[in-house]
Amino acid sequence: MKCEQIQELLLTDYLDGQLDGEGLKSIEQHLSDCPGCREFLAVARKITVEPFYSSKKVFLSQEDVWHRIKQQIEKEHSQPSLSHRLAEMILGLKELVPKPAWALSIMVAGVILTAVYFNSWNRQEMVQTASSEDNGQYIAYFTDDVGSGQPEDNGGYGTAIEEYFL
Amino acid sequence: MQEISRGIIQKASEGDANAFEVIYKEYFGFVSHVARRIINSREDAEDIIQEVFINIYHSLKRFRFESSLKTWIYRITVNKAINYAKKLSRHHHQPMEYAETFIPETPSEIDHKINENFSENALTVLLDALNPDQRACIVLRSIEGLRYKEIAEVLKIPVNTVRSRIKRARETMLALRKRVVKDEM
Repeated sequence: MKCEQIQELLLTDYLDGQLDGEGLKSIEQHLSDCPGCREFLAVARKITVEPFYSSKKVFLSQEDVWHRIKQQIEKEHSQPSLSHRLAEMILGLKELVPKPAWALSIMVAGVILTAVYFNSWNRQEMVQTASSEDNGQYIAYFTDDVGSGQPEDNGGYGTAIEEYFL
Repeated sequence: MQEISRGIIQKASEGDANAFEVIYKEYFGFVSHVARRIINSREDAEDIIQEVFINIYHSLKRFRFESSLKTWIYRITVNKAINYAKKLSRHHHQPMEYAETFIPETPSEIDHKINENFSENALTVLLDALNPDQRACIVLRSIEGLRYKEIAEVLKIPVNTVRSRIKRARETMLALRKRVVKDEM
């Protein structure tokens, strides 16, 4: 790795102890061979990290702030403001939205399916009626045709069985 | 910092002020410290802390335990503080309002502040040189001691973005130092 890449890592992961294993080993190898990067690391540590070691915790007054928060909470409980009630209502609606939307979509899907089913059933019935009428006509035509083909003077086909029944 | 039990969170979410006070006391230190460091104005930080806890109080009902309460509170605090700092910088056309109070006028004064045993003012000068996003990353890393992965989780940004903000922040601090040295020569 070039010094530029090493210095990027020194400024971030190395100074913050985020490296381990091979990454850490290769950086330390480079540092032992490169005085320029060693100097960069020393300056970077002094300027950008060490000032924070001694940083004091800047606590504020816990009691004062709690007093203000508690007052606000109590005020909201006793007289919820219009905007707060509105916000609560909107949030409540937001929570509810999926349920009615789901119920509505199920209802709509049910209605559509029922309509499609009855529509197809009616069509089938009409087709069946039409086809049975056609069949009847066809059979009638067929029988007529067959009947018309029979010789009027002939009582049958002249087979042995027919003759037996007759 | 210990994790608050589910029972306490549940009670607080139902409006139990005593349970909420337990949460407040547990996290006040972190919230106040981070808000104060990112905003660096006592009064403004107090307003932000109040807003953060009121926000937590209202939002606890919707807390789904998907992340820890600690991470969730970190996120609310840092986001509020960053947004406030950004709003301030837009209004004042300067990095921060408190810059006028703390940034010294001459480079030698800056150098003096940086060198005076890394005092509180030196820290203020360094943090003030950063933009709010970089400042939040530096506060979480160098003051609060969070790892890059934890910072990424708090800010909901990729780890590489955390790394790049920290890198730019430190380059800015080094550039500030270089400017001082160059001007003195």
